[in-house]
Amino acid sequence: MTSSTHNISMTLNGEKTNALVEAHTLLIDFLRDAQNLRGVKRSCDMQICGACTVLVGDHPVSSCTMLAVDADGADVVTIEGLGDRDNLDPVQEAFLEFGALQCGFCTPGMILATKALLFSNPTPSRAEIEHHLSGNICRCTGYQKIIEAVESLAQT
Amino acid sequence: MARYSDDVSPYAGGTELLLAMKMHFADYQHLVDLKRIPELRTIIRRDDIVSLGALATHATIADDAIISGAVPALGALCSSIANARVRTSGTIGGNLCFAEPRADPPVLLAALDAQLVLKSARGEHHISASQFIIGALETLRAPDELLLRIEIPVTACNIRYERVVFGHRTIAGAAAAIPKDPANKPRIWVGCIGTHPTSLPTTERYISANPASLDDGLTHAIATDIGTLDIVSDEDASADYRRHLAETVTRRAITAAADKKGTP
Ligand SMILES: Cc1cc2nc3c(=O)[nH]c(=O)nc-3n(C[C@H](O)[C@H](O)[C@H](O)COP(=O)(O)OP(=O)(O)OC[C@H]3O[C@@H](n4cnc5c(N)ncnc54)[C@H](O)[C@@H]3O)c2cc1C
Ligand code: FES
Ligand code: FES
Repeated sequence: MTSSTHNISMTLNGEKTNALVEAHTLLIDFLRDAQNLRGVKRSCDMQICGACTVLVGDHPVSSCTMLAVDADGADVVTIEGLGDRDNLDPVQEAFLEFGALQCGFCTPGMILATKALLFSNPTPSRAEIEHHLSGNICRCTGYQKIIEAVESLAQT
Repeated sequence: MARYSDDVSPYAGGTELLLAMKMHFADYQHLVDLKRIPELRTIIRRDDIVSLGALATHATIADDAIISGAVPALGALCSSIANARVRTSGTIGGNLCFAEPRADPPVLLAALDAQLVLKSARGEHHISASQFIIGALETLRAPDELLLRIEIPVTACNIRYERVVFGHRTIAGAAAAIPKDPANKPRIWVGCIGTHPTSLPTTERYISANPASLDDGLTHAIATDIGTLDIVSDEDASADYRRHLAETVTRRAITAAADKKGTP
């Protein structure tokens, strides 16, 4: 495949970022390889598992199936854009407190999906949490602890 | 589009197209990004027509006040399609134009008697949603045409869509639009069981003749219609199982629509 290259600019984890990308570059490859944001995980590569979830303008997307050029002008947030070790985001804090992770592979996507839910609905019911997170697959926890962690955030 | 002839494809949310390209089922040198045309995203109501831009995403439709007021069944469906990420990116137009045999909106839009408005350099062209999809991944859209919008008539009908999902896709779906005035014709459609949605004429006639009764005669009419259809067997469901589910979801859609007397 031949490809054109494009200048894109986005706000990435709060910082203005300019880059030259090929038209066919996927957002996940741009984030992981060009920006070294390895918290973005690839698993199914077909929009089923949610490991590659990132926020584009506060909405969740599968970065495995979105072109980097489509993020031109957007506000993009990966797990690296939330808290750090000494200053966790409230969602990260809740996942830690409730033991909502084991191997951690699904966790960046789960946390970002939770952020998106809370942006659009700060007080989701348990059913709404289950519906919203049903597109993010976790092979370890059995989901109970994740749902409890999110419920704790909904009550505040 | 005409310039690159068959080496070009319209591109909306990419949730089907990029997957197909990643898997090498499709290969295009040029994509025309329809997201750059904001007018294609608008949802407006003019008198008794809701005009739904082809680029409206499932998430937008699910949250839209015009849709929830005029065609709540469509909003409810769009809020449950796929997962939150596909709903953010995937568009109603992409869903229709891709014509995936297990897609839900084509079934509901056919029952709603929606009209699709397509456009090319040759002009505008209207096709009924009930005729648009002619086979698996096959529509009446010419390669140089774009789907601009979907026009949904707002009628005094009780409307319901019911489906059964297995894994990530629907294995049987049915839509019922039952007029509040029994003198008007009901529209009952089934889909996700064969290559494309189909109407159930015996069932429609039965409901017209027996508006108040959800009895064995209805079950029989549904079974007669579904018995004539070509139903696919695949790794998700056998043809026999799909037939059974199709009868069940059709009955559920009709019962639920008939129960909703007085609601929009
Ligand atoms: C995991 C998963 C689960 C899903 N579950 C469901 C489900 O339960 N029910 C359901 O109905 N669907 C389901 N889908 C399908 C989903 O609804 C579609 O992927 C989506 O709506 C396609 O829209 P898009 O904008 O991404 O299309 P694209 O991928 O951008 O385009 C699809 C096709 O349509 C053409 N096209 C797009 N827009 C236009 C236009 N305006 N004019 C002309 N041609 C156009 C493109 O050229 C391409 O061939 C699922 C998808 C995934 C990935
Ligand atoms: S890797 Fe993108 S959804 Fe699974
Ligand atoms: S913690 Fe291992 S996949 Fe979720």
